[in-house]
Amino acid sequence: MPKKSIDKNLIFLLVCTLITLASWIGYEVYQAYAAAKVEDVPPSYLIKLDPTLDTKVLEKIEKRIL
Amino acid sequence: MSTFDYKSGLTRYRRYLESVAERPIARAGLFLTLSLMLIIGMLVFALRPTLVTISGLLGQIKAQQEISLKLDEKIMEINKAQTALNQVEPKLFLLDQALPNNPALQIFMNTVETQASGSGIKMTNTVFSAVTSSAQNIDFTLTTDGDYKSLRNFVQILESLRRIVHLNSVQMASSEKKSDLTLTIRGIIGSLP
Repeated sequence: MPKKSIDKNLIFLLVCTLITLASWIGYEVYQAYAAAKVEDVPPSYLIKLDPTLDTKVLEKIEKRIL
Repeated sequence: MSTFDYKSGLTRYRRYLESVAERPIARAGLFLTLSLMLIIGMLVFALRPTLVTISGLLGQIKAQQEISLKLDEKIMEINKAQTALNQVEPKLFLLDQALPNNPALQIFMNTVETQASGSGIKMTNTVFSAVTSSAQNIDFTLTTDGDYKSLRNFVQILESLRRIVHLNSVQMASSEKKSDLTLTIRGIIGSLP
């Protein structure tokens, strides 16, 4: 009888360990996925560029006295 | 110290296995325990590093795709900017006239003198601060004589010159010639360094 209870306890302990390990590995996998980044590209290359030119300024300058 | 008696150990183990084999539930329990232990061992030593590496690589691929997308967008924006620049290229000389890359005082003085004579006023004195080739702002002081209307017109012209001129102060005082006024203008002209 005590042996059976040891077996049950051992299986319960193993299942709990398995669940804990699965959670830990899941967290590690997510962290590795989320933390992955590419460091080769300088940040200045990724800054957005506004392609519109303010041509009104040129028109204003053109109207001024030379 | 007695040596390990592997024969008796093996016999005991065999007896245990036989007793377990006789009882199906105990046999199933043993297999379950061993399977769980195997799964745990595999998880820790084989699956975890593999999954972490795979997820890290997937994350890097995703980051690379995002960067690639941003760079594609930037290339498109640069193309648009290039097209816009090509369209206004014939007018770019206006910027050089407004803010030249050297002090260009001679051109400024010629313009001012032309406008002064056009307004009917007489330039009596012109002073510039120390001019170096790398100066961005050059202080100047212009002193002119003329009637009120002409002087006012001259100040308006100075403010609307194509060359960027910032007037700091404009002072009028009575001139030696009673009909005329003396105008002293202090200001700054800019240039690119």
